[in-house]
Amino acid sequence: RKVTVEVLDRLEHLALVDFRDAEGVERLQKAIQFADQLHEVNTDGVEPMDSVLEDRCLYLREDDVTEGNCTNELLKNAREKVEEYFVAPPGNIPLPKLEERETFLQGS
Amino acid sequence: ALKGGSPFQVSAALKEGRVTPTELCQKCLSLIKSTKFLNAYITVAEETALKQAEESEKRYGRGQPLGVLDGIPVAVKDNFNAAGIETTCASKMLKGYISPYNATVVQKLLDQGAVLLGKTNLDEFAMGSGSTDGIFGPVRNPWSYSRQYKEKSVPKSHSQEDEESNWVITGGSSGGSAAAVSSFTCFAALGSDTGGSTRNPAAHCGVVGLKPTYGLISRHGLIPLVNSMDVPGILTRCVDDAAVVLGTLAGHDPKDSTTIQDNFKPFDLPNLTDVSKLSIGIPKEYHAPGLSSEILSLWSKAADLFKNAGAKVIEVSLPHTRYSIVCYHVLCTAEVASNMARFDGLEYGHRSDMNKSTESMYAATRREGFNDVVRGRILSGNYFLLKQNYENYFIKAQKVRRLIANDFVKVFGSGVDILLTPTTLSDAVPYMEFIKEDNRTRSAQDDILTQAANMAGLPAINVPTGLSERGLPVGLQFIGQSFQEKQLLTVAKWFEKQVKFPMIQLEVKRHDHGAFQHQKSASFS
Repeated sequence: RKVTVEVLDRLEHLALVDFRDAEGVERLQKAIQFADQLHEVNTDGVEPMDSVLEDRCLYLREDDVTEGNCTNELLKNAREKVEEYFVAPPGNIPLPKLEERETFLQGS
Repeated sequence: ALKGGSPFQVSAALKEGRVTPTELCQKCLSLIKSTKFLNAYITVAEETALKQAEESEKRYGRGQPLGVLDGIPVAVKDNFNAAGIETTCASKMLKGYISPYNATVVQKLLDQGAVLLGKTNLDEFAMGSGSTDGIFGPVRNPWSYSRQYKEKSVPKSHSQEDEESNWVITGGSSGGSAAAVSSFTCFAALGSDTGGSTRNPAAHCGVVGLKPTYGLISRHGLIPLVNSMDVPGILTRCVDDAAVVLGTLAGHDPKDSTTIQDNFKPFDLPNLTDVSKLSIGIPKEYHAPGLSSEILSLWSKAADLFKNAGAKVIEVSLPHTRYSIVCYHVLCTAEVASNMARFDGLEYGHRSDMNKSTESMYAATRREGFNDVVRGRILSGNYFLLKQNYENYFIKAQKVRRLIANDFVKVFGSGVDILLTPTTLSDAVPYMEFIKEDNRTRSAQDDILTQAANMAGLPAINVPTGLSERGLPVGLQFIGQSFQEKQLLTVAKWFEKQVKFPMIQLEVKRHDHGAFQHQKSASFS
């Protein structure tokens, strides 16, 4: 069962990384094939395990501000900034469709 | 040079003034320079290290050292944040990122007066089992340059080219940390362990690699790979040192809600002499396909060692072992897909010049910043998390995870105290051979013996056991019960004493002084 171009395209959209080349797509195919071995295991009546610490009560801090005031520190690592803002390119513009995008999948 | 032997050497030497923290620091920095070809370090923090050493010296001068770790040079894997130092995760995505804070474990080391020499090399974002897939290049196993390896492996012609192409990998992904400890450039190093990334390179580099119980040590500041499995790992030259470092790092951290709240009491390891009350389990499924006959034999000898000393040694079964790699593959890629989503170029790290739209900037940034391995895992993870696949892959894997964890519960519940297994399938392979297979295949092969412990959150430790026919280190692994590190380390220490693993005879050619050998102290504590 091969993954369809639609799904590959969807994945590129969701992940915002690209398959790059045929090898990338093949890598996914192999990964799925590998993962399919899971279906050999009988898991009837077995609950999914989220965490090995599921039997314990995890600790939540009080919602009090204990640190901060480090705007300058944090902005230091950003490439584009204006005053105390991170600057992003315009939003609400969807990623170009498959036909218009620079992606390996175009040829498929 | 400080002679090897019993623990409590260097720390005692510092206390007695036989060596000063600055001398120690300078020696290590100098050794880092002369072993640069190992490529173990990404960043050497020379200035700050010397400052820390000076501060330590003042404290010793006043007779007020902070503890055993005061003045001890350490190194930290480059996926831990260390304030003011570049933290790259060996990826273009974080090149130039200067950490604004210390990871909790880094802070704890510094609070004890440890001297942070630098950040060590790894596979990009800790994804890999060779420490070969980072942007700074592969790490070389110091044993490649040992007399032991050269005598057994290098052809008699012994030319420069032969040495160049014969070097072996460190294993990974904490290869830089393992190499740093193994080559005496530091006395302890931090790694991380998600599928075996601390124990695997520890085995290949002949050092002790401890994976603590999940929830014992804070992950705050450790750039996450798999939140439900990651733990900081400890690499040292002997088990006692690992216990000391563990004592410094363990305990609840309000900044990491996955650390347990129980009070952790640092412990000294007793010198176990009577193992007759011990029950050692030998899981038969760990006789995995591809296990070298050498390691099988060493494992068997180790079991006999315990038996002859009076311990109960029994074969046990962990039936779901063979599915742990598949399970890990799905859960790991799923969590990675989520964790890597934070890298978008806006707040830190690499940012693409593309600025047509936010999404296209994100896409271009990630396209430019991540290597094939990382991208591959993100895409696979997203696939398994698609609505149509969620139940069949992600939830399914979570169910299998419970079965794997239950296998251990059953075995420990039946009276077994500790499990004894191999750590790796073979000794370290030459780099040229290792790169013939792709990262995922290699990881799947190499993680098979280590990652079930991550699935179940159990503590596990690699203890260097002997040398292979090629003169390279081979280690064995002990897996313990949750939060029973004291028992685990006590048994490991006893075993370490029995096997007397040989010290590496590192032959480092110095350009100015010709070849010389290092015989350094085995431990610091």
